[in-house]
Amino acid sequence: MKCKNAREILYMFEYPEIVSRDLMEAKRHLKECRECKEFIEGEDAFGSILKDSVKKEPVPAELMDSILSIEKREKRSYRSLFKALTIAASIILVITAGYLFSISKGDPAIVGQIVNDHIKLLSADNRQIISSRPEEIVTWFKGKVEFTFNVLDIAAKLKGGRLCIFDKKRLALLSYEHNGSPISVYITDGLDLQEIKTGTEMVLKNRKMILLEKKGYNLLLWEDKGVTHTLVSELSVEEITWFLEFNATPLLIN
Amino acid sequence: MNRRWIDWIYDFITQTGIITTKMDYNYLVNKHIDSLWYAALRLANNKEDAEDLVQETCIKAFRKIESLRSEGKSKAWLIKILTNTFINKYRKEQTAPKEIDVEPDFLEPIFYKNGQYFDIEKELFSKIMDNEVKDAIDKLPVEFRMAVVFVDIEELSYREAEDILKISPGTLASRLYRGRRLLRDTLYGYANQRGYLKGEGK
Repeated sequence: MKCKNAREILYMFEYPEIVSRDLMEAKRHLKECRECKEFIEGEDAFGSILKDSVKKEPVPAELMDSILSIEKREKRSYRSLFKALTIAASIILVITAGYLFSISKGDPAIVGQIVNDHIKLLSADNRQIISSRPEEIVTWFKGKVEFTFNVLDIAAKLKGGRLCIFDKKRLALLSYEHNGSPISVYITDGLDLQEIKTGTEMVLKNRKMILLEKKGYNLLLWEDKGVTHTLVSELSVEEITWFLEFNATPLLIN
Repeated sequence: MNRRWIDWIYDFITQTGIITTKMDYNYLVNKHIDSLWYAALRLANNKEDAEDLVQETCIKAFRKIESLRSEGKSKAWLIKILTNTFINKYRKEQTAPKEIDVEPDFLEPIFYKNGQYFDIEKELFSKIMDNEVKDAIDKLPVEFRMAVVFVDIEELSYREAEDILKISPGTLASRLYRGRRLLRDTLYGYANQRGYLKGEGK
């Protein structure tokens, strides 16, 4: 191996873990070549001499103080950041709580689902039982719902019914028509009138009812024998109350 | 009970280890501040910039201290932060000198006198004032300066220096080789001016 190559390799590789053929050859060359040995020793010696001749100047006291106070300053800023984050978290918490409170003040989701279902019915008649005979409809619902409910005989034409399932809750839908306007009555034991937060209370035929307006439709809710009836229609409140008050004896199924 | 609840929560979180600082910042700074200060002075070439450089380095070190896993690597870690801060500052200000790495021949010995070089030239260096050594280092192009300061003065390993400077072993060797020779020439110049080389000749 040439002196130049040996020196270059020895200069570059200080790592004891690197064992290469070239490095071994360079080390062998170093043992045999006095000039190269002196070259490498000279490099090491120069570095040592240089280190020994350098006297490190003292760090300015002000700089030292400033550096050592970084921990305090940063902790203070972390504390400020933490404070800011805590305040932000508190604000978010308040907003979230407010939002949840406002949601809790709204009506149960099932009310919205009932209105949406009624709207669908307007565009596509999806009655499962088509009949104007309450007895036939009563028979059809037997075994399909687990609750007992009344089929109202109101001053509107009974057109049939359908079983609805909203969020695993079974509802009986009775379809009526009055002066060409469809009327849906959804009956379920999965809706508690106490959960209705909006609307106005009214009394019809000695029964407490709640009147709501959703998406342009009027909803009238009442409880009868443990089940909740929700009447949905585009008819005015006056029309609805008129044909409700005109009702005959309701039929009972179970 | 002057402290507010927010302080109590913060202290609870930090003391229970939810937020931790793995190494003791003050301990590390006290241990390596001389090296940082020296390296900063040699890199920045003036006291004011060096102070800024050290300050900035220490703030970054405090913020990143959790990334330091071993105390044994703390010196190289701090110098790496210092170097990166220095390089970034130079890049921003676009005043960084550009040096072209030329492959050296590795044929020129560091000492002029072979054989009995050590005693004679050691004596020569001992006569040269500390300030002159600093001046000589400061006159080196920055790439060579960093290599010499990190390897010869701060005694970092080649591997640490390569990592800090992000260069290959060959480039580090080349810069060290050329830097040492430039430094030697300057130091001999000082020695000559002061008459230390009387009768020695070059």
